[in-house]
Formats: sequence, C-alpha cells, structure tokens
Amino acid sequence: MDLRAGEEPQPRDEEEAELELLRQFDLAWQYGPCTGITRLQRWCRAKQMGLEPPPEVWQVLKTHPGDPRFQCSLWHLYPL
Amino acid sequence: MFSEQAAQRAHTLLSPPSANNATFARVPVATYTNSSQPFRLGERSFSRQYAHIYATRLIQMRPFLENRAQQHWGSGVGVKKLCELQPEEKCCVVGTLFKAMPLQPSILREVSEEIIPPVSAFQHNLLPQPPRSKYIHPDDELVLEDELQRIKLKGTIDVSKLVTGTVLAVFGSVRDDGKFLVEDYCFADLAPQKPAPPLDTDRFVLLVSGLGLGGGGGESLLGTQLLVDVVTGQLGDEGEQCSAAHVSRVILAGNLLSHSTQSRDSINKAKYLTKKTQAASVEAVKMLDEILLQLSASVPVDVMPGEFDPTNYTLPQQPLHPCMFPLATAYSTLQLVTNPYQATIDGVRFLGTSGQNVSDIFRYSSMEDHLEILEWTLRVRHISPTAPDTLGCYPFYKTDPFIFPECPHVYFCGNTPSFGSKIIRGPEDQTVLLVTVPDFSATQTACLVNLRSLACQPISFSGFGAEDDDLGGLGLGP
Repeated sequence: MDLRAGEEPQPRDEEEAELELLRQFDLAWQYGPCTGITRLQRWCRAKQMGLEPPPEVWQVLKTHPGDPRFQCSLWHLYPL
Repeated sequence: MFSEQAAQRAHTLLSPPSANNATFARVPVATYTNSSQPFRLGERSFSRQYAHIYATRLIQMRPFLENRAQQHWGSGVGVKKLCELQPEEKCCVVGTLFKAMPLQPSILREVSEEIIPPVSAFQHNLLPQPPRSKYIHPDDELVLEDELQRIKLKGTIDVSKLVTGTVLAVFGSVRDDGKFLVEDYCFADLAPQKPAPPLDTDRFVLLVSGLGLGGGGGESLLGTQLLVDVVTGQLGDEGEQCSAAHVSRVILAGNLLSHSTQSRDSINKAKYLTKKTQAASVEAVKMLDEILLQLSASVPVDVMPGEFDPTNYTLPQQPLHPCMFPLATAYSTLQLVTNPYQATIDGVRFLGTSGQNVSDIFRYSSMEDHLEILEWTLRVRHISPTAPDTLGCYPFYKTDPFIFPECPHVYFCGNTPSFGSKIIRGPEDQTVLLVTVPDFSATQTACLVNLRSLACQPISFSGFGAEDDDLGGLGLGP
C-alpha cells in the first residue's frame, strides 16, 4: 500500500485552494488597497467598516498563523 | 464680559495698604476629558503607501454624502459609481477630488529641469520656484476619483476654491468628450452634535498661539509676560484679578518657538565656526519652560505643538516631550497634547489645530479669509483634506482620524494673521463657535472664549512702542 504517495497531494491541494482564496481576497477592490498591510489587518479593517469580508478568509488566516505565504499580501515581496 | 465684570468692582489700586489681602480662588474645572486618543500614534510604520488613507476616507465619508445627496436632490436620485455611468444620464457620483495644478511644486519637475534645462530656462525658469503665497492658476483642473476610476469635471463647480482630497457628491451627467458636466454639488456638511449642558457662571478659556520664543524680538516677550501676569492674577486691581480667576484653562495652540529657531545656517558653516554654538531652540525651550512654570502654577495649561516646535513634522503632531520642561512638569496642571487637539471642558467640546491645515488650504485655494477656510473644513467634514497631498501626514491604514465624527462646540485654529470669530449654524441645528487665534508674536492678541455664552473676545497685551500712534495699551476689552 502506497500511503506516502497518497498523503502528500491531498494537503497540497487544500493549501493551494486556500492560497487561491486569499489571493482573490487581496484582489477584491471592495476592501481597499492590499499592499503594505497583512491580510489579517485588511480583513479586520474591512470588518470594522462594515464591508462584510468573507468569514472563510478569516478562518484560513487563523489556521495558519506565522506563515508568510498566508499572512502577507500578494505583493509583499515587492518593497512598498 | 471679562471687562464689564472688571469695571464693576471698586478700584483698589492707589489706596493705602490694607491688613488683609483679597484672594480669589480660581474656578475649579468641573469636568475635563481629553479625547485626542485618535491622534496619538503608537508604533509607527512608514512602509505603507498613502492609498490606504484615501481609500478609508472615501469609504467612511460615502454614507454621509449619499445622505446629503438624497436631502438635496430627492430620495430617488441615483448614486452611481464612475464605471456605471451612462452617457447623458443624470445621476450623482461620490468621490474624492484631485486638483491638477501646474504651479504646484513638484520635486520631479525640479529634478528633471536641473539635469536637462529647457531652452526657456534662460528666459525665466533659471532657479527653482521661489515660495509663493498661492499656487492657484486659471488652468487648474478638477478630477473626481472613486474607488476604481477618475473623470475630469467641468460645469458649475468652483475650481479655484476647492482643494485636493475633498470628498464630495456631484450631480450631473457624463458628456461625449468624456468629461462629467456638473450641475450641482454638495459636501458632507456638519456632523451631528450633542448639545452642551448649560453653565451657571461665566467661565473662560484663554486661547493663545504663536508665542514665538527665541525670535529675538523684545516686544513679544513683554506681551507674553503681561499675558502670564494677567492670567495668574498679578496684574490689575481687584476687579481684574477677580475676572482673571474665572479663566479656567489656557490652551497654547502651537508655534511656541519662533521660525528662526529652525534656521539651519550652522549646517553650511565650517565646523570650527560652529563648535561652541548650540541650536537656537535650546535657549528658546528654556524660556518656554520658565513661562510654563509660571502659568501652570496657577491654571491648567494645554500645550499643543505647532509647525516650528521640536516634535514630528507630519500630522498628527505628537505632544512635546516632558523632558524638555523639567521645571514645569512638576505641576500636574501642565498637559502636553497633540495637534490636532480635542477635549471636553465643562461640557463644551473643543477641537482645534495649530493652523497648518488652514494655511495649507490657503496656499492651494482662492479663499482669502482664514475664518472662511476654517468654516469650509467644517462643512466638508474633514480637518485637513489636503493631507497627505501637500501637507505631511502619517500613513494611516485603518481609519482617517481627521474626519469629524462629531461636531464640536468650539473649533479653533492657531497662528492666523488676524483674530476672527464667528458663530455658524448647521443643517441639524448645530451651533459652532469658530475662532481664528492670531499669531501672538506679531499681533500680541489672545482670545478669551466664554463657555457659558459661547462668545469670544480678543484681548491684546501690547506695550507702548516708539512707533505707536494709537494707544494699543493694556486693553482688556474691545
């Protein structure tokens, strides 16, 4: 039985889907600019302003704290 | 007012010394709350662009403007985004203004002309533009920007009066040339106001700005000392001392140090010439400490920083550091506060700045009167719309703290060329007293605000100069 080959693609697909969800959140214009702040900061700002950001994004951000691929915006590798 | 109370009492000067000394207890401050928390910066991060502050400004102001648009043009008016505009269809658009000004100082233009001077440089553009008092030009154009697009405006809109950063609602339609023809426009107007509880006795707040210490002028030092003496009750006879006891607070609205303390001549001089000199601001701050010591021993003082004071340059300016005032900070009545400053004194809401917001709008608008500009900032519901475009501002990202959440009862700005005060009314019966506090080093005038009647009176402290034709003496009244 080839368990190892079966385990790895599963989490990677989920991860990819989550990262894609976060990227779409970054590119949604309704919540304001996404550069220079973390995704969590942007989500909290949108929540405070009553823009109703998707709760799934918050769930994903909470389950991966400290991971810059999740926490930082799409453009974080570019200065400013 | 102040002077009438003083005149009522018997004149006690020039009388033989009496056994008992009259003492007057200062009116206690019943309630005071400092609500400048939104202007305090904690940890500062400058690795952000200014797009955030503009985005939050538009998002926060949009509901107010949509409300006003419905009030002005009917509840059925369609509020559309720029991307939804149909040609020739009348509708309302909410967005931020941008004014394209050819005379606006641009660092890019200055640098590019240095490298490749244009031929016309030999005629007139040889040196970088000297600072002008106004940068407006008949060729200025207005552009309205919303979250996604921008469009040029034409029509019945006063291009010279408006400035960049104002959020407004325009009513009109888009034309074939791609520009939006404006038929009417409106601002967010005054914010809601809680009424102030009525007071039973006269209480005064003294507003002073532009003390200008370290400027080298002996005239203004005399005026400053007279002011301190009047407030601490060491001047005048018993009537005036009794009136001075009704001053419950003093607010110093910026520019405590003079512009000349910021001179950077010593940077260009050789090291051996400047070895023993110290910055002019050191001596000026020592003088300020002594003045604050005298004042805070007697009355609560709020000190706001201004353009020439040793604190950060960008708005909101943070309070001066208490280590600079070793003598005066012994008293708890001394409060070092932010610029802009917001507080509730005996139930009356005060909000004011040291004048940078008003003077920056003055440079980029055709409005001439500082009081008119002050009223205009209240009507657009934003303390300084030109920040961060032409006025330095911290890159906020969560909210824009310069939007008025609530309408104050007294709204002041410091360091204006002359004194002015006016009471204005809002659409929901808000009443605001506007005060332009003049530059003390030039005019020797301070303002007394009566909290009970919301009236304001100038009070001038000039000495007798050799050139004085009219006696601008120790006037305690109009």
